[in-house]
Amino acid sequence: MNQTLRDAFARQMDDAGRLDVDAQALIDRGETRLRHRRLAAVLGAAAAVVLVIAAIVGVTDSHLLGRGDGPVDRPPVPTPNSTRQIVYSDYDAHGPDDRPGTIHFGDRVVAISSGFIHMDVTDDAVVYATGGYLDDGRVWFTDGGRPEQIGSNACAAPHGYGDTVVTGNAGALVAWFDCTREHVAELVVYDTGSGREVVRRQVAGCGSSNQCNPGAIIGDRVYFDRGLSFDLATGRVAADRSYAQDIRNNPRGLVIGDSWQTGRPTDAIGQPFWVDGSRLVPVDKLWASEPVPAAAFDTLTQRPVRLHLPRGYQADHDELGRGDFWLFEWLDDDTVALVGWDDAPGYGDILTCRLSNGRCELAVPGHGPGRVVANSDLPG
Amino acid sequence: MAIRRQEDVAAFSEFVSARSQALYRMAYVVIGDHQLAQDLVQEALTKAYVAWPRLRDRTKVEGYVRRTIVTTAISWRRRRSFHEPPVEHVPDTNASDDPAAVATDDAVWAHLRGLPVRQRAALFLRYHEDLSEVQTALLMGCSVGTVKRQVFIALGKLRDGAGPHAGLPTDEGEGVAR
Repeated sequence: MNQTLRDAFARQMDDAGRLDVDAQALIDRGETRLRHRRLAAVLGAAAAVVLVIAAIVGVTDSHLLGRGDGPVDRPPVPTPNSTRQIVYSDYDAHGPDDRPGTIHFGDRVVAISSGFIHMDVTDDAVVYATGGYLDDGRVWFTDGGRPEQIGSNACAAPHGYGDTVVTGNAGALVAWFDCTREHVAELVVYDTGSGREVVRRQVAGCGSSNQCNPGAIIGDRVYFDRGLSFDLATGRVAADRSYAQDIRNNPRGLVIGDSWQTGRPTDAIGQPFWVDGSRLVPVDKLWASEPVPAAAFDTLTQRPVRLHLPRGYQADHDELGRGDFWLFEWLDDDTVALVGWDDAPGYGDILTCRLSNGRCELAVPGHGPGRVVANSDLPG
Repeated sequence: MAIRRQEDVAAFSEFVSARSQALYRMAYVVIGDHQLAQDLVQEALTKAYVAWPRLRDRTKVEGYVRRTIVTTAISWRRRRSFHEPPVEHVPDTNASDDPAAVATDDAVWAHLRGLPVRQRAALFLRYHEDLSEVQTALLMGCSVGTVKRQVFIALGKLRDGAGPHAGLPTDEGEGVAR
């Protein structure tokens, strides 16, 4: 027994104070969830009946089930501009600690010394950081060929978080914080198209222990936590006030909530979807005490997004919360990639889904533990 | 009319009354924030209520809720919006400036709070709850190797921050159940 640690934890627990729990409120909440699930099952069955009838009379489902005022015109199919490859890494989860693995970049496979990596993707390449167990934080680039080191010490690598290196949903830029210099963290932005750093600068308030993590690249801005963003055009760091509008102006984003106008804009990376019958339902407010199913609207067309599992795909969603997917990559303006969540029966399954018609396909079957995808934290 | 049977509702209420405070203290240690800890406990207990027919054995309920707290805290961090208010970070310290000054419970406690959720959870379960590596892995929903790695990294950070005289374990297996 280490008394120092035990005392430290005991002190932290004392700092918690007291929590008064209303058991009846929890019961009411639980009953509401149980009723919602029953209702969803009933509605799902009813919708299926309507769809069958619609198919028989040759009417499209968008006319019967579409939202909004008045007739819903067939949404325009976006013209894909930049198309990305599905990116994932498979490694031996039961093997040695360095876990040799392979990066899959579309149809190209790259052998790497450790598949246990933080990774993200640009239009040209995969960028990844070796961290986690290796804890070295080096940043690498591969376009399907031999990996090349492009950075030395990504700050967030030892923590195992998926925002060690981040890219935009389109384009060639990737960002990370470099902790090579003691007590200093420098924001680095690298262009995988030209193969060079375009930004390297210290950000006030981001020291090696006051760590900053890049969050997203939207348009010309690098957003990072602590409520800040870096404007690539002006070279300035400012308080983050533009994120919501930047998302709405970007073709690769979602608005989660009751409506396009009132919902929460997001680049959708990490957006969870619950399995509900044959549907994939977006979930909102996971960090609140009551995560709820919600609607989603894509930023390109402002239309509702309604995704359906592949025909014949078996997925469960039980009271233990298993069976959901999360969005990890935009492949083009109309196509997203989702991966099955930890402990879910479809763990590691990669689906590709078209927003315009809601159809999903099983692109890459999972094989249990031993897979990370772009933007994911390291397992465990 | 309630979907759950009356005896299940009563058993759940009794469990909440008996264990919510201890669960909240654990949640606070794991997540490091009062409001989030409150949300965590409420979410975990609500899930337990929904899953109650499978959890009639009291010992299973406790383990299920504890596991839900830990895994939900980790998943919240994974899915977090980076627009959350900045987390209070530990100010830069130089452990070599004054070893005696930093080798205190205050220093250890402060650096403990600065650890990521997974590392703090692994240390808490191993060094405060006295769980074995296997028990910790089951509760965190990960492999034993991952538990070892998280503890290794966390102790390294604590030693770096709090200094060599803080009384921390010098070996990841020191003073804990195997």
